[in-house]
Amino acid sequence: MSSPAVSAPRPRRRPSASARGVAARLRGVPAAAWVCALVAFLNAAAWSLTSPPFQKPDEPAQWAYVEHLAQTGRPPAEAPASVRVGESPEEQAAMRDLRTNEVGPDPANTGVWLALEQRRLQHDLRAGLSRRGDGYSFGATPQPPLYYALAAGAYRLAGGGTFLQRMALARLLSALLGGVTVLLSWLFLREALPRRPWTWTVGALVVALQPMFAWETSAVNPDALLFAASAALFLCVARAFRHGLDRRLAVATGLVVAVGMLAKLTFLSLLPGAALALVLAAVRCERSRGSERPALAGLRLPALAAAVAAGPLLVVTLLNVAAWQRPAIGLIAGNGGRFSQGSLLRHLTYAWESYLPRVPGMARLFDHDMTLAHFDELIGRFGTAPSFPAWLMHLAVGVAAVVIVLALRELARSRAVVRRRLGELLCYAAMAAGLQLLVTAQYYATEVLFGNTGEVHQVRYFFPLLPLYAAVAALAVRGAGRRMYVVGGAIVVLAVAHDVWAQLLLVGRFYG
Amino acid sequence: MRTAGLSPLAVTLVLGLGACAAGIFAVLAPATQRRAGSDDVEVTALVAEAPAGGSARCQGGELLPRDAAALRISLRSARGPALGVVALAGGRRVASGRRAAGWSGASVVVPLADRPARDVAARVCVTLGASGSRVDVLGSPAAPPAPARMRIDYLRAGRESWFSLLPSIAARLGRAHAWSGPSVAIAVALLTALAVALALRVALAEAREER
Repeated sequence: MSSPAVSAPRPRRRPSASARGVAARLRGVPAAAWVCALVAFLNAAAWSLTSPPFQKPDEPAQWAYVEHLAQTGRPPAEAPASVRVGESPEEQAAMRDLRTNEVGPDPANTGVWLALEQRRLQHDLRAGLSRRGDGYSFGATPQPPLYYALAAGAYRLAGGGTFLQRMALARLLSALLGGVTVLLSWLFLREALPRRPWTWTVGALVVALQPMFAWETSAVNPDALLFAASAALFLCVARAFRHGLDRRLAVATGLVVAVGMLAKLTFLSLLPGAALALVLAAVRCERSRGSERPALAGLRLPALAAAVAAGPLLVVTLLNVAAWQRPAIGLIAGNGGRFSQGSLLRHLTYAWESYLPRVPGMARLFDHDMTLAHFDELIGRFGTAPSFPAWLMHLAVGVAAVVIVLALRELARSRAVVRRRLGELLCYAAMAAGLQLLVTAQYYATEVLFGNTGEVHQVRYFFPLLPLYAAVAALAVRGAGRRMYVVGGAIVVLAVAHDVWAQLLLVGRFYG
Repeated sequence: MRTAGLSPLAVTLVLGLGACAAGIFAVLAPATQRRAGSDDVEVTALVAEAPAGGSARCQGGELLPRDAAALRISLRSARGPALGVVALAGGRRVASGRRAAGWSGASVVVPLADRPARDVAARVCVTLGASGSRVDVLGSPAAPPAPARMRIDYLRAGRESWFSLLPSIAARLGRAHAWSGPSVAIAVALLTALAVALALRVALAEAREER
C-alpha cells in the first residue's frame, strides 16, 4: 500500500472581524424570532405549492426577467415594441400547456387537472425548447435587477431540472425572504416596543400567517426582497432612535438602502422618512455628547449611510446606461407625463377616493368603495380566487376595529412615552406617507393609461409597511391589559384560521 | 369543562382552534355536484344559432375525463329540444348520452350513458332535435384559424362534499409541479400543519417565559 502524499497542512482561514461580528449578532437573535421566521417560511412554502405556476401577480413577466438574466447574465433591455419577442419558447409552451391565459382571468376555469394534460406538459418541457427570450415585459423590465439576480441563482441551482423545478426553487427563494421579513419585523418590535417580549412574537406571527403576505412571498416577485429590505430599514430606524446612530449602524443602514433600491423602485418612497429619522437620531446623539454644533455634526453619519448606499447604486446606474441599454434608474418613461394629466382638484379627489369613502360634492371616480376594496384584498382576494363569504368579511371588519381600538387604547395609556418619542413616530408616519404618495401616483399614472377602473389598486403595494402592521397587533395585545394573554391568543388563533381558510379557498379555486 | 392547570392563553388557543375547526368543517361538509374538468372556453358571445329543424355541431380538442358522468354545454334556449351527445376518439365512440326536450336556461346538462374508460382526447358532437324554440350556441367567437367554440364542463356523478372530493383534489394538486403525485398535497398539508404547530408552540412558550 502506497503511503498517501503528505502535504503541508493549510493554515485555516480565520473569518474576518466583521464576519465574526455578524455571526455573533445572529447567534444573539432569540429563538422566538427564528421560530417566527421559520413559520413564515414553511407557510409560504406550502402556499407556493397550492398555486399553479404563473397564477401569481405578474409571474409570467417576472419569470421572463429571471430567465433572461440567468441565460444571458444581464437584465432585459428596453426595446421598441416592433422588435420585442417576449417570453422564451419554453416559457410560451409552458404557458400554453398550463392554460395560463385561460385559467387566470376566470375562476371557473380549471388548469391542468388530467394525467393527459400533465403528460403533454411534461413532453413539451422535455422537448429541448429554447430558454432565450428578450425578457421584456411592461411591468417587470423597468425594475432593478437584484431580486432577479438572486432568483437567477436559484434557476441555475436547479440546472438540469425541469422548468417546473426551476420555478419551484425560485418561489422558495421568495419564501425564504418572507422568513427574513418576519425575523426583521420581530427585531423591529423588540426595538420599537420594549418590554412585553411576548407581544413581539404575536406581532411577528400575525405577519407570518397573513395570507396575502404568504401569497406574495410564495411567488416569483421582487416584492419579497422589497418587504425584507423595508423591514430592515424600519429596524435600522428603530435602533437609531433607541441606541443612537453610530458608525456601524450608519453603514448597515446604507447597505439596507442599497439592497432596497436594487430590489424594487418603490423602496425610494421610504427614504425621505428614513433620512429624517437618521438625522434626528444623530442630532440627538450629538446633543447628548455635548457637541457645539449638533445640527452640523449630526449630518456626518447620515451622510456616511448615504455614501455607502450610493456606491452600489452608482455601479448599477452606470451599467444600466453603458452596458445594458436600460434607463439610468429604470423608471418607466412617461409615468411623469401621465401623472401630470388632470387638474389639481382631480389629483386630490383621486387621492381621497383611492382610500376613503366619497363625500357629497366629489366627482365619482370609482364604481365601488376603495376603502372596502383595499380591506377585502388584505383579508382575502387572491387573484381571481373567490373571496371569503360576506358574513366572514363583516366579522373581519369587526375584529380589525377591536384591534385598532385596543392599539389606540395602549397609545393613550402610554401618552407620556408617545410624547417623548413623537419624533420617532413622525418618522414612521413620514415613511408610510411617502409610500402612500408614490403608490397613489403610480395608480393614477396607470389608470390614465388603462382607464379608471380601480383594478390597479392592490393592497400588496403597502406591504413594505408590514413592521407597522405587526406593531399594531403588538400594541393591541398590550392594550388589553390584564386580558393580554386571552386577546393575544385570540389574535394568534384568528391568524391561523385566516391562513388555513385562505389556503382552502385557493385549493378550491384551482383544484376543486 | 375542566380547565384547571391550563393557562388563559392555552384555553383561548384550544377553544379558538376548536371553533375554527368546526367552522371549516361546516364549510367543507355540504355536498354539491362537482366538476371533473372543463375546456375552459370563455363564454363571451353568441357564436351560432341552431336552426329549428334540428342540427349537429362538433367540436374537436376536448379532453374527456374518465370520471365525467355528464356534460354541461353552453347552449341557451327557452324550451330546448332533445339532445344527443357523442364523444369520438380515433373514430371510435368513447362516450355518449341523451337529454330529453324541455330544458331551459343558458346551459344544459347531458348525462352520459356510456362513460370513458380513461382520460381521452376526443371530438364531441352535439345533435339537436327539432324544436319550435330557438337554441343559441354560446362561447368564444372564431379567431381564424381557430373556429368558434362552445364551453363544455365535465361533471362528476352525484353530489359530493369537499371531503369526498379529497382524493381527486390531491391528484390534481399533484400535477404541474416540481414533482408529481399525491405527495404534493401531503407536502402542503405537512408544511401548513408544521407552521401552525410551531406558531402555537412559540406563542405558548414565550408566554410561559414572560410570566
